Amino acid sequence: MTTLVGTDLGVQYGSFRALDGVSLELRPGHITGLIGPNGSGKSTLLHTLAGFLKPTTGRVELGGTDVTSWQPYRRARSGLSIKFQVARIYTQMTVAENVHLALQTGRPVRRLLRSADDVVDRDRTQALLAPFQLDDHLDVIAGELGHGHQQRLELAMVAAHGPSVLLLDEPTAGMSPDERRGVGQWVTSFADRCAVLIVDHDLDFVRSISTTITVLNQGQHVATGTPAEIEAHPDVRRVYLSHV
Amino acid sequence: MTTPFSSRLPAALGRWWRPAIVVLGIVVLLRVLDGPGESFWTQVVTRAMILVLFAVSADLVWGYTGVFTLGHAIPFGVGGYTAGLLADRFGWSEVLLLSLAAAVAAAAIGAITGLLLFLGRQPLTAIAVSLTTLALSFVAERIAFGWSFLGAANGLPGLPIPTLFGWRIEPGVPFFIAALVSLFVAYVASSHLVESRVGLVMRAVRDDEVRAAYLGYAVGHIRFAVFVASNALAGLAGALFALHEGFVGPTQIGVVLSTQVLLWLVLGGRGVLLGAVIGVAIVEVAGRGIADEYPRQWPVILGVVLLVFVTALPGGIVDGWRRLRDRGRTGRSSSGGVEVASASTGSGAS
Repeated sequence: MTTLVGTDLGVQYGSFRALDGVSLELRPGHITGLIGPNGSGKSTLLHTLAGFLKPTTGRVELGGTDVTSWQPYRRARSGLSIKFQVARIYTQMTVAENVHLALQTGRPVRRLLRSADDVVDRDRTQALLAPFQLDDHLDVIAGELGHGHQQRLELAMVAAHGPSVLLLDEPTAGMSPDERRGVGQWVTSFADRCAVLIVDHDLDFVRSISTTITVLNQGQHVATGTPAEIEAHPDVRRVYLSHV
Repeated sequence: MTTPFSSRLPAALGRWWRPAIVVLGIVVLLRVLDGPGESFWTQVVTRAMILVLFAVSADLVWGYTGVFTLGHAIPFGVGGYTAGLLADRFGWSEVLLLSLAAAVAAAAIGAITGLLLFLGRQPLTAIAVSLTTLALSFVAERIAFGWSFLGAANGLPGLPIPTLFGWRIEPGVPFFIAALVSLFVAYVASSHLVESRVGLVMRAVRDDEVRAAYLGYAVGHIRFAVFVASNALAGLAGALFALHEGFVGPTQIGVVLSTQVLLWLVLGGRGVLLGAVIGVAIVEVAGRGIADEYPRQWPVILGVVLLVFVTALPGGIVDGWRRLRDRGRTGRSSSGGVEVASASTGSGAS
């Protein structure tokens, strides 16, 4: 199974260092929580690992291959998937079409040239949407869904893509407590198959599902450990207390 | 589950019977308007059909894939000049060969331009693509104006009448049939493309290229492929236009035509092939009477209409009509107590 490793990653905007020599390893079967105060570099690190941002220093390896200069689509084809903070779904398409886009990646063009149902099985789409309670919304235009549903649809899309490394940027933003619990259960069950990195402001949520937590502050690595170790870590306490 | 071909056939026929009746109606109307021995309106409609072909090619690249090119007249002009030069200087007359050569030449130019636009190490931004294509269109027009091999400002007039397997394709009914068949084939092929899963990917690239990339789609490659195919189609249209008019000149490759094709799509509707038909029909056929009567005022009228559409109806006529239709349906279903609206909007409530 694939591992994602970021080594000595740095991102610089002019004189401002958004990320300063951070290293991180995501292993299959593990959920890594990434926390830190606002502006600590969480999203910058996630976007650098995803290939959305190019690091000024350091490198990113996916399954032992240096992918630092790879464009996002190549990383995605190698098993990396991302759920963005603000759901990036196709609001003018139906729920089913959104999932089809994720399912049909890598199919040969001559197959894609066939019309509609010849390419992707409707039953399979429905099964993929079931854990997100969207299986009876197949023909609904995605833009008509509520915020929580849209977030879940994006999760269904990344699941349909069949990733070996999953990056989740605030996957529960704007969700109700019930929805959060549901997402947490799904992430936990999905992590059997892949490596997961999760960034979320809800510390209780991160603590409850992560096997490892990494803490950033002002673009620098502060600590990495189990949830219990992180909770007791003096530097982490100092970081969070200084922001209260 | 795959639908058997035998059951798909009636569905396909059912889809095309309406356009077939419209075409039949146009043919009858043209016979009435033109009268015996005349072909003025037949030629107007033939010209419009060729321009629809051109507009469809622009819709594939802009409307469906989101590449706002301001240089789409380049492949049109390249196709026109290729057919014109081969007919005028090399004595080619077979319309199939001329069209094929034009499409290949336009696709080749599209491939070279597309390499620069979409497959560079650092892909160009949307605005950079627009400005680059605008600049290229300007350059192409200046080259056509200045190069004597292309007839300079006079272009290539008096192109010979093309043939099809030895039959002369005269402007009028023969060319009308040739243009109609070309448009039908291109329209059906384009329609199949945009409604297939490839079309879904094209729309995905248009609507959110970042999401498309993270689903594993090579956005640059997809745009490149559609751009080249669209250029080939525009080249075919350019060849037919030049052969129909018996002339090709710098205006057929320049900035004005590049923006005109976008205007048709703005009016008719982009991202929907029917929009190309409606846009051209309004400006080039219905608007022709006004343009002839008020040649000075026509550009101003067109500008105002464009302004109204961009601000009030950005999706064009087809989108406006669909909205009206949907509103009517929603109104009917809510008054009848049917839960269509609540089924879709209610899903977003939790």
